[in-house]
Amino acid sequence: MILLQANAAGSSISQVLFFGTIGMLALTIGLIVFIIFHQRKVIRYQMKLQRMEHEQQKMLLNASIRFQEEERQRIAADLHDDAGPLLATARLYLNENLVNLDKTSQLQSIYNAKQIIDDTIQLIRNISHSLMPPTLKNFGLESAVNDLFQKISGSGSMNASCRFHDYRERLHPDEELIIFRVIQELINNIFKHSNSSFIHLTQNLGPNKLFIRLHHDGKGLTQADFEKLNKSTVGLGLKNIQSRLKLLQGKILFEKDMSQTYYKVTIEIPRDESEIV
Amino acid sequence: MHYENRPDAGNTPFILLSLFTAVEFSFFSYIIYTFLRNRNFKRIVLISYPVFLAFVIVLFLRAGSGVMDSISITVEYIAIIIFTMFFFYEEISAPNTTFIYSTSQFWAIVGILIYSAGTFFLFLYSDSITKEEWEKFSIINFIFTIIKNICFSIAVVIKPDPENFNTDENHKPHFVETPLNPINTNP
Repeated sequence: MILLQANAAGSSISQVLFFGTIGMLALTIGLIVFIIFHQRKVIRYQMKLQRMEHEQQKMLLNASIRFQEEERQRIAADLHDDAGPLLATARLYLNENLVNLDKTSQLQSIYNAKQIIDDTIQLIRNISHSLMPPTLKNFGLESAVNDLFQKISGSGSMNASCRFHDYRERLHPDEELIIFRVIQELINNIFKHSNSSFIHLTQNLGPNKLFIRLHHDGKGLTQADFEKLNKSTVGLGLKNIQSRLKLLQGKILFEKDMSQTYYKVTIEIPRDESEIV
Repeated sequence: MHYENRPDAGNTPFILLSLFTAVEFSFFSYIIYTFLRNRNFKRIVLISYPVFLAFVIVLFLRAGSGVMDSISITVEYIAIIIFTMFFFYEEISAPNTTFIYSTSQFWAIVGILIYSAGTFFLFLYSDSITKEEWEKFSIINFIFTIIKNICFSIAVVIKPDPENFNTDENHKPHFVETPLNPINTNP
């Protein structure tokens, strides 16, 4: 319009045409250059995000491998330090039985060997239970968690209670095991770091989601602390929790209670109706 | 201004000029239509096509013969520029991992946009300039036609980066199949 007015005012059409074309060309080139640079910037940002995600994945994988190795070392130590000497002692008693011809001594050494073998069986059973709790396998998450909390309460070191409000249908055994391990790890952390006097666990069902909440009155973590520890090289257990929950596409939220007295950990697991056993 | 002084008068029949505008619009809008992914944008292009054709026919019937169809060309270029904006908008809002200049769509659209924008004023004023001035300024048309053709050639020849290939079904990597550049929509 301005150009047309200028034209009416006496400017020659040639000038309008020339500058108009130059202007349009400049605008077009400007637009194209802007789009190219903007897109490059966006792609670089996306690549940076991808790289960060990749790093995070790598860190989680490392944590999970390290955790596995630690677990193996623990089992190896249990077998080597406890089961090994017990079996060696039993062997000694049986050897003695071969040398000693006195019947009373023979009976005594057989009895001793039997006692030691019983202890070894119990020990191996304990190791096996720590690897895969039979209650969890046979009776489900609710019973396994109840069992765990009863043992904690029974030890007298802490007041532990749990309540499952709506767990009529069991989850898939693999999912139950993952959730149980996460709860175990959280309780382990509470034991080690929080110095709390009680733990309370509740389970609820939301729309297509399962919620597990843990309250304790000790020294806890907030979400910012959790994310900070997750990004650092320490906090192996937390990384392990994160990688386990990632398998279930679940979330974990660490927060301080509204009353600022308790710390609360919320685990949120999406529920697929088809996976209910 | 006398009819004899107007550009192209007596050289090209008005019906051919109008027909050329309609065909050019069809070609450009078809290319842009195939590149667009957003349904609303596609619908706009689709709706504007018959509207524009009706507009060209009405102008042709009303103007009779002899004059350059500058109004329809101006409207055509405005529409085409808007359509190219749709394409660029889609490109900057979509989470693409391919650099925009490594796709043939980009070069085809750039060719169309530069040609439309560059010759916009020439055709806008084509009714108001003399035959001599038209001949003088025809060079603008030639230059932008060459640029457009260069861009189209790049679009035909360019090969997509297989690492960053966009697997969107509607996002065709090449719009013209050549022995150098076979159309392959399978990821």
